[in-house]
Amino acid sequence: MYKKPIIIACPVCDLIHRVEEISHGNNAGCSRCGAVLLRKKRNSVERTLALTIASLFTFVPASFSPIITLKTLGEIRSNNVFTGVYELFMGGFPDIALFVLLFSVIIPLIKLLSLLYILTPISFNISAPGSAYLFRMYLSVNRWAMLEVYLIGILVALTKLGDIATVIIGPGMYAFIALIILTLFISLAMDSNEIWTRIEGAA
Amino acid sequence: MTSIKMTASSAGLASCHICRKLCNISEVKKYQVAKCPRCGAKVYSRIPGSITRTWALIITALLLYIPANLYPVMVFEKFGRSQGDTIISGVEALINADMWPLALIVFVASIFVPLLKIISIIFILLSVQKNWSWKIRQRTKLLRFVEAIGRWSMLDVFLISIMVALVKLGSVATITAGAGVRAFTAVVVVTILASKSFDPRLIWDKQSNLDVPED
Repeated sequence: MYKKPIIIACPVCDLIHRVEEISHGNNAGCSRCGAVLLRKKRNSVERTLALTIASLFTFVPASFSPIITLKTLGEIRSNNVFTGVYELFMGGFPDIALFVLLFSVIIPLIKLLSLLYILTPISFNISAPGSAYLFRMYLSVNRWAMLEVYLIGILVALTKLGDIATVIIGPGMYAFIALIILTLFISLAMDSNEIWTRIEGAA
Repeated sequence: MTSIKMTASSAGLASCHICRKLCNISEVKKYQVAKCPRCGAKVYSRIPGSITRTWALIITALLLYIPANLYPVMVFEKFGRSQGDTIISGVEALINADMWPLALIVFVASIFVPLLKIISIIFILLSVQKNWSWKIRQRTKLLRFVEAIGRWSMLDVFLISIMVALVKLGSVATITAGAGVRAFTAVVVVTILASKSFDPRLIWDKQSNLDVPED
């Protein structure tokens, strides 16, 4: 139940709607084009916060521990996100190195840290300064985090190299998969409308 | 839940693109910028210059698509001999090595998806400018679909970053990135920006022939 009815415009066809209540786990859909107007999620702040903290813990091994170790012709080489970025940088492609770093490390990290900063006070019904600005940034930058794409890239590389050399999957791989699953759950558990209401209300 | 039979723009209201709050912009004068009272973002009825901006970005993407596929993206050095692989020849090599699923993944992510995205956005732009009113829902769905799959084209770039890190065996076998990867990354980034700059409400506006601010 919302304290007062929410008046919202459809993001796709712009038709105005008046939403009085949505039960947990359901959506309100636009009557003209069917787009989702609002979602109501149960315990969204607590669940999102818990998932964010868990994600931050997995973030460290996911980024730093070796993901693939290649054994061939007597040489052993390991890689993680950073070695890939480093080699691109040294190979004369600093710009691409930056993009890879941005999409697979920097932006996912910024998203997680922002959520931590915003949601921790919110779960105590206080709004930390700059929450609105940070959450705005979170929502703008959301689609530029490409962790799952990187994972498929790893799997393709694994298969390609597995054919010609011995490939060992390192701990980083499991942490990486865990991180992706956790961030997926974050996107499922997060109720942005609820967060905006709390930021606005507690400010 | 009920719908109020008006669009936001015809009621002098605008939906904040970040926090969705409905703001009253009827008092805003021509050169003023309205800010959302809840989140501070700029509020506008429709994305300003949406059609022009999207055209500029999508044409850029189309032009960049050519060098992205012509120039090699990965360079193999084997025993002193250098051989470049473009995206297409990379797919061919995977087919020849009997790795059909991989070839398919790379083909879809790096060749098919960007092209599909560019063509779809051009189609939707034209459909809005020529005021077509058929299949509105389908066009909306197409736009959403294309926006969701856009980022998957970065797959090839990530793959290259992994390969260059792992295959560094001196003069026996070394992989380095090629110039094509720059153009290709640019295509992915620019197409994502293009779908971000297109306001899906434009598809519906023309349908109801409501008074909307022109680009």
